[in-house]
Amino acid sequence: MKADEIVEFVVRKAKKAGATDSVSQVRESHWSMIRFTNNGVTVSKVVKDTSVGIFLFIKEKRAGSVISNVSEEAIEKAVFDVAKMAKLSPSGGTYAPLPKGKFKYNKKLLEVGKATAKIERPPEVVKDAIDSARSAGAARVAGSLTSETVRLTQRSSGGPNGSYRATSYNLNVRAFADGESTGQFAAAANSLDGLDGREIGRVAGDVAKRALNAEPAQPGKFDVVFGPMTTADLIEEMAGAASAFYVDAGMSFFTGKLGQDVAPSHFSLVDDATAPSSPGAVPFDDEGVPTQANPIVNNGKLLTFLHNSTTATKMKTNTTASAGLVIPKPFSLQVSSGNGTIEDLVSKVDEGLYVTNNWYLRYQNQRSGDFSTILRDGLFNIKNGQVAGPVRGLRLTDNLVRMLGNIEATGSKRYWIKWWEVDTPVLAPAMLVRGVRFTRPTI
Amino acid sequence: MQNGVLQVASSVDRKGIGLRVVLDGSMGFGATNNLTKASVLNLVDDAVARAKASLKVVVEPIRMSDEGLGKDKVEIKPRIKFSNVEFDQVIEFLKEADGAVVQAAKPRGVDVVSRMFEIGTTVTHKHVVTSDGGDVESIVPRSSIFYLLVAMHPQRGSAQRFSERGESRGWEAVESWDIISTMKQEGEVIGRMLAEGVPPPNDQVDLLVGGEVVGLVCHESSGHPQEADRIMGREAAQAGESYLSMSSLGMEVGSPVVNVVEDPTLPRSYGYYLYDEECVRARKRYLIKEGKINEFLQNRETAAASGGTSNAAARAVSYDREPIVRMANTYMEPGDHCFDDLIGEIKHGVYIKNFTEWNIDDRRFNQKYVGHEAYQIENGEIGTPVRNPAIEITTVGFFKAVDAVGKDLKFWSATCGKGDPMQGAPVWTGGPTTRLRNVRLGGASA
Repeated sequence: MKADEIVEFVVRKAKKAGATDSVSQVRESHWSMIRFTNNGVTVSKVVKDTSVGIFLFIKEKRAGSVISNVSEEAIEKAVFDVAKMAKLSPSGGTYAPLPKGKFKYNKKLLEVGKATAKIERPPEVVKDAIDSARSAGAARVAGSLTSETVRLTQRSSGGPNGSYRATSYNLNVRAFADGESTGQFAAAANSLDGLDGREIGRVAGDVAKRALNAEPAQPGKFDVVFGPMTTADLIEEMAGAASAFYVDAGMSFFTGKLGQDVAPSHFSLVDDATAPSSPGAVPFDDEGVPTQANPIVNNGKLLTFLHNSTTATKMKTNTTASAGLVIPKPFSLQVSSGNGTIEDLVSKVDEGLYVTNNWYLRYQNQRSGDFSTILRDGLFNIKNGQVAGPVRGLRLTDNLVRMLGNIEATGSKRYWIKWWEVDTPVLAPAMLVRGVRFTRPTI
Repeated sequence: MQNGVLQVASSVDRKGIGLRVVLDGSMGFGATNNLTKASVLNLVDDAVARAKASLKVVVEPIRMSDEGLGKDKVEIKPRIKFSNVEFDQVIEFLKEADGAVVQAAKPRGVDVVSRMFEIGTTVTHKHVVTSDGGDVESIVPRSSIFYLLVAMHPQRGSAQRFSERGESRGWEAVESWDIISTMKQEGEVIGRMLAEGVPPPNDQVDLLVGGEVVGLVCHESSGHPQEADRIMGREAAQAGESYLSMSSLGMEVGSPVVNVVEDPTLPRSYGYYLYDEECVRARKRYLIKEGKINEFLQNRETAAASGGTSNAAARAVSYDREPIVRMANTYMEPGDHCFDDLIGEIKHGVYIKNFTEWNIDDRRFNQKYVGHEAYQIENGEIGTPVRNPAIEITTVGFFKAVDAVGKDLKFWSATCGKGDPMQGAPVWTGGPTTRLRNVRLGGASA
């Protein structure tokens, strides 16, 4: 069976099995990656997979399955098994019928991005990035270049059905001037030509070189300029906390804050999968509803939680076309841009820090937003409005709600960031945040 | 299940083939779930072509160490098959666990506002064949349960706790964990910590650290930095490298009572295997012996590069992920002290039984563990609850501060993240109650 026949078959069989609602997806993925280490390629990978997603409701009882066997018999059995699971599930949740009707999807989103046919081209981009990082001062360079083309075919029992193909690339480069003096930069785009390997390598190499001879950092409370890599990580966390599922479950630091001012009025954050040039652009969500721009934070006010039909019904509002069938999710995040360069942001700080990257963010308490994350790669003192010497050894230990409220300015230039630590593409500027708390080990 | 309501029941059934080729020192990896002969042959061609296309950017040609490779079949047969467990029995079990934690916190005026439970059962059937003679088939069932709790007190704010259990067994594992009692205990403890916890002391104290924390420390601060691929830079742009080098064998990183073990062969363990993904026979490995770096975790690629032999650390979590160096079950080897001995010799200290937050830098040296259940210790006695004491410490700082190790070894399960794309591998972390001298809590801040 072809993909459109499979999804139609699933929905038909689900109805026969007693489903009140059902949705099926066929996901055909062609994924590849080149990983490099110590200035050379360590592995070239390719994965070609097809899977069938089956999700059905019997009123509020829900069950789902993903299978890789696309034979008619296997699919029919899976539908039967999923229906059986749903029937046996207890009552008591919220029943929201899947959205009904035929939707018109933005034609520009049905074919997003462009895949590179030549397998010789990605290694050339990798080599450019390595050479550029070394020219900028790196002794060793590592990273990964990833590409993925997904063709997704979907049908819902409510009527929506469609198909799109989306291609995306991301390049992640980490440069080592020595064992501990490192710089990292990453970018995402919808075509390989949209990734400037030389520039990404140059930025990583330059930060690594400037990070040489770092002194132990002093802990304390500082005004901080975050580079786009860290902005992207923090913003992804904030957008995740705006998922109505987590809000409703009491697991979000945004619980009870809808409509409140959570950031200064110059700051906005939108989840927008509708721009064809954006990594993460898709025409519809997992319920088949056409995607839209969702202003999570608009001029400082927490304006929108991300909803699917179930969470929307529960909270007496409308879906924001952010399904996730169980957990609503962001697709493609954009932070508002401000005025000025990173240097302009730095010039507003008398004594503080310039943070270029972080990783390993964990919550002490998701409800309150208390968290910590490790700073990595170039970390610099700021003195009298200028970037001063490199330092190392700090942990950012603070609260995301408090930090959001203390964003004083964002930079004008934004970068699409997606890498190992940031799953959702974020169009991220540099960001100045006042009074951020840092700690370090005691022994 | 979220707050007593089943959100979704789901199943995943995946089957595919993964292959790795080395062409003149360039490695290619391919995977697909289209198992027709034509598709698999096409995949082989593609993996070879990609390895060839990258040849000119290969700096250090890859080769595999020579090993005695296994030909075997390993099968764990569950006593209670997952297919024999009634679905409504699982639901009732989760509902009872959910109710137990709520009720147990109530007497202290604490409301466990958010409860999430995930129960998972998997069966992994693998058949690994290598071009140099390895041929190992394995069938391993695994059971797991994860829970995340958020509790609130009207005047004292909120607290969070999560934990996980997992074993390579059938449903009998879930029955053995006595989750209902565990949840009663978790509810009682989160209530006590939230309602009665006082700030941690800010002077220097002795620490008694529970096995849950010690196991995590062994995983994060001994296991990860002793993965040879990290040391050689293969994870440099993702999870990072290591504070150690390949010449660090024999380096003193802890007190003489510190012995950290890595052992995939532990029966029932969540990280269990007898042969790794390169068909090398697994064995017990001492990562740290009497305070000194003793052995690195190696696969055939790192072993060949470093002139050593593999100790069977190659793992892949699925057919579509390449085998890389991984831990399995990492733990502090028990000593001979009972709990009363350990605490009895502490005049002024803190007992941190378990944790709620942690992280560590990408060289595996600067780490933080925030305690969940914790108490003051005065003159050898447990006292007032302490709220969220933070051990912020270096790897060597932690292991060198250990002066006594208990005999009460226990294991916890976790899903270890590594690789690009990410591979979440089932592991056990373990340890006995362990004593550290002269540590300042809370991290250094101005």
